[in-house]
Order: sequence, then structure tokens, then C-alpha cells
Amino acid sequence: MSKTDSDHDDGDEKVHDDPPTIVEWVTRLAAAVLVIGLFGYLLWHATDLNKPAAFDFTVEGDKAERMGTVWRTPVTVTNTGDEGVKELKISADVPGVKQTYTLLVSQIGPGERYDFTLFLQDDPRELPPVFRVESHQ
Amino acid sequence: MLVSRVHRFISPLNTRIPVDGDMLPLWKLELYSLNRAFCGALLVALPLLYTMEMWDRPRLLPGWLVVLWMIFGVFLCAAFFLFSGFRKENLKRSVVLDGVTSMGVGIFASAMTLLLIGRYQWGESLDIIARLVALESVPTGMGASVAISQLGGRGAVARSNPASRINPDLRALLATFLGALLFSFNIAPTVEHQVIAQSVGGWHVAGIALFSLITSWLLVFHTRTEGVSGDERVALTDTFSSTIFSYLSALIASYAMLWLFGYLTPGMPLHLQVVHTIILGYAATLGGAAGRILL
Repeated sequence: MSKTDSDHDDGDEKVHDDPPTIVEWVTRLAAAVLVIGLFGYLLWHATDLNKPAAFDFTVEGDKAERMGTVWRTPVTVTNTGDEGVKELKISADVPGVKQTYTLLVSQIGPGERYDFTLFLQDDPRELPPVFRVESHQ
Repeated sequence: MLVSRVHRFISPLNTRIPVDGDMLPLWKLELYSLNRAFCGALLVALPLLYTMEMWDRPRLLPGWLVVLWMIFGVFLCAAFFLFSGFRKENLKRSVVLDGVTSMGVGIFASAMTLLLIGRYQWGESLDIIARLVALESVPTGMGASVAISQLGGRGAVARSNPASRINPDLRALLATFLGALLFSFNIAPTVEHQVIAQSVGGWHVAGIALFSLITSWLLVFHTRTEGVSGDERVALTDTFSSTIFSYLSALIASYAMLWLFGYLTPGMPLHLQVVHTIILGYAATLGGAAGRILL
């Protein structure tokens, strides 16, 4: 079967005028869904009210473990705002104990979390550390 | 009646067309084209998919700028289709639909590669993933749109390119601009141009600008000897004007890239913006001249 070669001549090249098959249409549809879906998601987030960067700290006390004289304590900081920040400087104080820890996170995007570990002198379940954001860009 | 109406938009799967003396199924040629787009996407963008700064930029760019990137990406893909594409055979083309397909292929290729190289972790913010894929899909989409120029076979479609109907001067400038964007995309997101901008003096910057102009002149001259971009130009007929306009196109492309990547901010002193643009402009100039040869 030879359906084809209708069409306008462009020098010695001919453009086949057959419409695409279902294969091409499915490809186009899938591509359009991907583009519109991603674009829609980003647009929806971009037009949402932009909350400034804010940070939520979670001390995973149940995962803390004693290592010799210190407590290895996993901590998670989450950026709950809609803006990313660079060079986030965090301090952690343990109440009643003269012990301050500082940490620098190079960057943390919107909704993103960053895990780090503190080595505390006391059990974090009894004396949980208090976190402070010192600065960020 | 209904069947004939459907067949105006969808060819039956048993449709065959002549290619190099053989009758090949149309659906198979369409799959070859898609495969070409996918490979072209990765050939252009794989270095960027492996670049740390590209992973980091989505964390710091405002949401509206990422949206702007996607719009810019779709327009760029469509613009590249004026010159190139991913269809080797002279199949019916649509600049808009093929541009969207390129972008879709770019999204798929980016998402798959980023997944395979462990860029998404369990519990990762969906917002960050979406931004990262969107940003990476621009160069991958551009790669899909110029697959023919990369993988050979462009000669078969060159005559029917929609760009052949554009004013020759405008065509040359557009090819320069697109080539500049494509080439400088590999450098624009990195921090190296920032490091260079902080370490060079006025003489270096003047030297880079002069050397860019000379390189551009050499490449434009080369383009003319190859006869690419045609001799039917009306305004940009001499080497001098051609070189100056090529360089200006490259500088505009550089400025746009730096701004879209968030490296140029409104509070930044003007002279620093100029220095950054000239430094990236060197790469863009080479890309612009190459664009006129390849596209």
C-alpha cells in the first residue's frame, strides 16, 4: 500500500502529507500532559501566597543513642516557607547546661528538610535542645 | 463517513511511505523520530544533569522565575524547530506540536536521569523535584529540538525548514541567538563565571570583549566561506556589521541566561552586570557563530 507523496515540492524534497498515526498522537498527548501538568503545578505554587522562609526543628529523641559519654541525637530542620535560603546558621542551646552548638546549612529550599546530628552531654528526651536561627541569606 | 473523517487526522497503522527506495511503516518512522529526540536531548543536556549548580539553583530561584523558565523553554523548543527538529524523513511537521513534544521528551529524559543518579530522596520536597525537573527540561528539550543537527541527516529536511521562509537577516540573527543560548547554557548555571568576574580586572574584561569580537569575526567569516545562512541577506551583508550584530545577540542571550538563573539581581551594580555578561558572552559568541553553521 502506498499512500503518500502528495504535496508540495520544495526543490527535490517532498513533504509527505499523511497525518500522523495513533503512535504519534499518543506521544504528543503524553508530552502535552507532562508539560501542562508540570507547568500547572509550578504555576499553582508560584501564585500561592509566598510565605517567607521559616524553620521547624524536630529532635528525634527516640532515635538518640548513647555513645560513651555523649548522646548521638538526630535532628531534622524543615523549611516550611516558600522561599529558599543560603547559609542558614543555626544555634542549639541545652537549657540549664552551658553548651551551645552552631551549624551552617549551605542551602535549603522551600519545603525541604535537612538532617544533622548533635552530640549532646545529656539525654535529649530529658533535656531537649532549644534551636535558634542566627542568620541566613 | 466517520472513518474518512478520522483518517484526515490519523493515518492507519498500515500506512507506509517511501524512504531511500524502501516502503517503511509510518508508525515505525515516528518511533525512530521519538528515539532521535530522546537521544538528542541527553547528548546536549547530560553534562547539565550532572552539574551540582543545576541541582542547587531550583532551591534558590523564586517560583515565578521557574514558571518563566518553562515558558521560555517551550518557546525555545518551538524556535529551534524553525531550523532543525528530530524528524529525518520529510514527515509532516508542526512547530508548536513538535515543540511541545520536545519539551515533553525533555521532562521525561530529565526526570529519569535525575531519578537514576539519586537526585530525589525519600521524603524530598515535591516542590524542589518539580522545579529541578522543570529547569533541567529546558536544555534537554532544546537537545531534542536539534536532534537532527546533532545526529546527522539534516540535509534531508533543510529545504523544507520553516526558517527558510524567514527574512535572511532575521534568520541569521535568530540562529545566532539560539546557538548562543544553547552553548552558554552549559556555563551559565555554574559558579565559575562568578569566580572569574570577581578575579578579573578591567583589562581582562576589555580583552575578553575584544577577543570575543575577533573570534566571532573569524567564525562569521568561516560561515560565509561555507555559504551557510545564505548570501541573500540584505542588511547584514558585510563581515563587520554581521560580527557586531552577532556579538550583540550573544550578549543579549548571556544577559537573559544570567538573569533567569538569578545571578543578576536588580540591586547588583551595573558595572558588575556588564562584567558578568561579557564573561559569559565569550561562550555565547562561540555558540552563536556555531548556531549559524549548525542550525
